[in-house]
Amino acid sequence: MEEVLSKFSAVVEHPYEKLNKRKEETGIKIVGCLPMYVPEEIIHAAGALPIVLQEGDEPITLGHSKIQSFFCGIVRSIVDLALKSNLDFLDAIVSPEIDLPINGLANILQTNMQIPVFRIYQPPFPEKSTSPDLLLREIKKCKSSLEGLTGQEITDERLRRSIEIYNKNRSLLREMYEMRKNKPGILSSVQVRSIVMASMLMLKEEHNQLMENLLSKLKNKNPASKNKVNLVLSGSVCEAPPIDMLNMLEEAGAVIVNDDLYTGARYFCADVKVGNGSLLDAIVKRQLTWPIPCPTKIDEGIDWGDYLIDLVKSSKARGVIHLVVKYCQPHEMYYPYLSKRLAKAGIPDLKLEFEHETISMGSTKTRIQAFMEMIKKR
Amino acid sequence: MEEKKKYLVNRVKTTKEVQNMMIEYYSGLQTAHQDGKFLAWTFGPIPFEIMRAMDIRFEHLESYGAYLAARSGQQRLKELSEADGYSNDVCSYARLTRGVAMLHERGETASIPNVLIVDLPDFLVAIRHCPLQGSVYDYQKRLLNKPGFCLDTMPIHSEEDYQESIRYMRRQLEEFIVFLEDLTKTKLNFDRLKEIMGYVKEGAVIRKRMLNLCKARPAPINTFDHFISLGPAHTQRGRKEAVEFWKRLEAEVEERVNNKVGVIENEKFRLYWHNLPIWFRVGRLSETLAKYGAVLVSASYTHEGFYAHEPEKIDPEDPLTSIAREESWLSWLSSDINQSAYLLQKEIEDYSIDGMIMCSHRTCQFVDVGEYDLADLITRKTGVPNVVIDADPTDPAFYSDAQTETRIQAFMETLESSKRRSAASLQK
Repeated sequence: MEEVLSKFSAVVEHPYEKLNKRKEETGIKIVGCLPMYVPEEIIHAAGALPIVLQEGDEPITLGHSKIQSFFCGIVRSIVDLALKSNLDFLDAIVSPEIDLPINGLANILQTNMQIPVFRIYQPPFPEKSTSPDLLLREIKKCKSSLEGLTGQEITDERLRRSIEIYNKNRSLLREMYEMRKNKPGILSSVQVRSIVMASMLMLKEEHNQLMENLLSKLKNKNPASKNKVNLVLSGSVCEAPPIDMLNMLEEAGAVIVNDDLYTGARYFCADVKVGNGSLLDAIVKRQLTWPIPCPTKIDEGIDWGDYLIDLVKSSKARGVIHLVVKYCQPHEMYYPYLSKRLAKAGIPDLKLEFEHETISMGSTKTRIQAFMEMIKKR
Repeated sequence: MEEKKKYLVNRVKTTKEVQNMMIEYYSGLQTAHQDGKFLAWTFGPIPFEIMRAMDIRFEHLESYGAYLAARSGQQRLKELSEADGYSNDVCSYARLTRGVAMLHERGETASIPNVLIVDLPDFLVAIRHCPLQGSVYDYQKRLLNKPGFCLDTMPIHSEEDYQESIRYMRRQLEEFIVFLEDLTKTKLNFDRLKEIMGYVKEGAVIRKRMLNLCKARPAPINTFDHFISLGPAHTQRGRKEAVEFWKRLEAEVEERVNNKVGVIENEKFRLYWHNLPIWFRVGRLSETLAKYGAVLVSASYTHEGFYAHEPEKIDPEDPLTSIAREESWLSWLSSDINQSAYLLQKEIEDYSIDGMIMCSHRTCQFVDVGEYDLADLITRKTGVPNVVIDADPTDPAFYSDAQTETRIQAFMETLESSKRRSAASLQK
């Protein structure tokens, strides 16, 4: 078990150095996807390795010359990594155009890197009749750019195979989440973070193998300790949750049983359902019916408040931690609404804010401890 | 007797009408709403023309935010929104809107002196030029539990995208009309819309000519006055009265050009303003620049939006395509750095710009992202220097007079020495 877990953590530690090395060794084309929701299957079918670009852990220095300090950490960090040539191993970038800092990031990378940037504009309204046509056009455009990049035609056969591999990966990750929900504490939240992030950074075929190995071991495992407080993590949107904060929560007696994070359930919650129609239409449908509500979308059909309340109930959790990235305006905009809805439903919640440079550890710890005390007394 | 303050800027008289126009506009909203007209809260540059044609009243978030900011009415509203859980990193317009809704919730709409608090809406309308405007709309809609419609714009990076965007917008406008008709149980009178579009065109053509008059030396009007007249450009667009206003303004500006009357005496530097105005410092900044003989002659916000792009091509007989073209144009400007750079460079040539003020607005990420690249690119290509000033459109918490004025002073010295250098090289 430890052995397979260490493989996931090895992937996520200094990932760019490893990817650079992989590229040198194999010559594979690597395409960086900006968060969130890039349909990676298409990149995979073009014979390239899609990765979801992650925030680096270095302090931002050169990046300050290209972007103001009041943008979220991941955007500033990726600009900084690019300027420091840490992303030179990339052959192209795909931007999902979901949000303005992300669209702006694509522009900054295009201006400052010598690689093509392909864009897939994702209309934010899943329910509007105008959305599928536009998204299909965007995906077709990106598909043909990717074919040009790799020289590999994306045939139906190749795309079908990639979809199968990706659906399998999502289903394995969901199975892991089910196990964690039913046996709280079976994996620490930092371990879960590494497992999901590794999926974003490696070939899915390889990740699938590791996942099968992990799941077979997890089946026989029982959590080490009981009497913990079950919590759900929410938010943290494009960025992965900070490791220190996750550790602090668990040290204070919490166990994370579920989440709606992008480096989490949000990433793997939606399969491409292949039916009788075209594969691209199936991808469009999946993109437009992402089941976890997102503050960058305007989805009249679902409500983030309702979603969280259901998630807490179905996961037998006792509270919610909102992980809020400083300067993530879409998330900050919805936080008061979510907090109000949870309060009405009698679910305690705590907002923890973090940014690239600093987390105020002392005060965060005190707030977490007070929150845990409050829940335990209920 | 107290001595009357002497201003360095000789403001045009016509824009002084704007204050009353806006007060009348907001009080008109209230009376009409009380008389049973529908009232919408709107976010972003939505197609007001269609709502006007259906006799629907609309409050426009950004104009209202500017109105509140200019009257120091914003402080209480922001405190309320922050007490409600909002971080002050959130868009300041959004916080103001939330504050207005909270005043209603608390029954305190009369608590801010000299500020007219608009009624709660019957429904909401937004256009997602800035994706956050979509989020502002969506959360307000959920909190207020009102119906709403949000138009989308796609990012544009090519002529092909632009054409696609026009088609995309046109289809959405048709759906928007159906939404309004269902809600108000009234059919849109298309002839009325065409008539309104005729006024939009007439007003925009005059406004464009008036903007162009600023190419003259000395500049007859400065961009701060253009900023002030954006209130009517939003809220009065498509009305005969607006056309009359633009005519009066154009006549006054033209007369100044003919008589070589400048908006300041001894014009030395002609500047460009990039980004939204700082609504609570329009007057003071105008005076600060004037001290150095500097005048703002052009700005991205005033010179590209509000149908300033090819107004002669507006076709009143095909209002939906004309609206779709304008919305797509705005989207192109905001999503593509090459397009912004191309236009900025052209403005620099057309208006003989000596320097650029790049305003970095703390809570308005939409207009800030990529600004440094744009400034570098233009300065490299044209040699025109730039200065970045930190501010916010409506929140004074993110603005410092002292810091801004020191930066402006240093920038003026830069301009001075670059003028000296070019004069010396001409002598050689």
